[in-house]
Amino acid sequence: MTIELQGPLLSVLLATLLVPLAPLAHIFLMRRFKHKQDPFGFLIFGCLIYALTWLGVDLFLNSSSPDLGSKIVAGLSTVAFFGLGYAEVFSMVCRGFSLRILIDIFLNGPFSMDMVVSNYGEGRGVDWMLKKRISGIESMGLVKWKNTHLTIASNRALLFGKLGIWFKRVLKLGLGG
Amino acid sequence: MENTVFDAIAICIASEVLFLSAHFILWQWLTPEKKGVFIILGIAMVSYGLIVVGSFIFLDLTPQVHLWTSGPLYMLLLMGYLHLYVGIERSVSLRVLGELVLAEENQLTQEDLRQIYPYEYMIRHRIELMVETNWLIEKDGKYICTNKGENLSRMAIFLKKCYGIELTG
Repeated sequence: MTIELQGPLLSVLLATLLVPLAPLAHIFLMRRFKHKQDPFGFLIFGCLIYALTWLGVDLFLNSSSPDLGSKIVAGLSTVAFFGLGYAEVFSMVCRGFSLRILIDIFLNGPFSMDMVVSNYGEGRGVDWMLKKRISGIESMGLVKWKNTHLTIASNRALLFGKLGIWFKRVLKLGLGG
Repeated sequence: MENTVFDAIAICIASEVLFLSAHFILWQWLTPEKKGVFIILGIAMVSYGLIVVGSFIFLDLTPQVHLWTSGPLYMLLLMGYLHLYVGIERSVSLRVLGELVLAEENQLTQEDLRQIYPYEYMIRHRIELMVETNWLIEKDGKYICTNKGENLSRMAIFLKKCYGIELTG
């Protein structure tokens, strides 16, 4: 059996070979525009550069194949798959709770459970992390502070909260978090 | 658009339905510590394999025709689902949002939140998972990185430097 290097197979292969473009573009943007402090915006931009490059290269090298639909679905799915995978890796490095615990123990450990709580995030503590997370959802307009009380800020937030609870109940995942 | 694309999409939808059904059924009786991402991946791969073989036997759809289209599309759907699953299960922000939904008048003080969602709980189940997966080991009540954990930490520190990020977590 011979496999012809064209059509969807070539689209997948090109999308796989071009993967390093997304992190490279992302790292370049993060370092070049450090003052803008928009890591996730740069991440989307890096993935867009990767997707557009794939499209250009695919149109140039894979235009003789007639199955346009299959090529586009295969290539774009591969690009989006790697884009989402890369976003997960970056999110873990940038915000990962467990990874931060691991790094803290590696740099300053061994730690007991209490020491992990107080030394989290280079000595800032878990309290700092929780405040950071709350600030994050506050800036997204999901929660707001009413004097000393944290409260739901919109119907959208109520919907997200209920969907999260429903998902965990259906799959019996416990409290989560 | 030719039929191959529609065949590939149909195979992905059928695989996804089978995967989600099997996942839902298994998750009803598996213990929480066994509900891991690797089992989800296993269920997903078996579901896709069964549908590909079934469509070949009963519908005469040869895998070579759709594999390079249905495969990446299915992997994308799976990646999307894993993002959703891990996000909902582990997210601190979503847990806070959930606690606010359940609270009286949808509001909590910081102290209330700390009582419902203690720091010790946040840390404990993450550490237990890292011990289970051999990133950490416990020695005399204290946790130390294994070689695997040290390598991952070094890689994460290197990536942080590449991105120019000062503080993470």
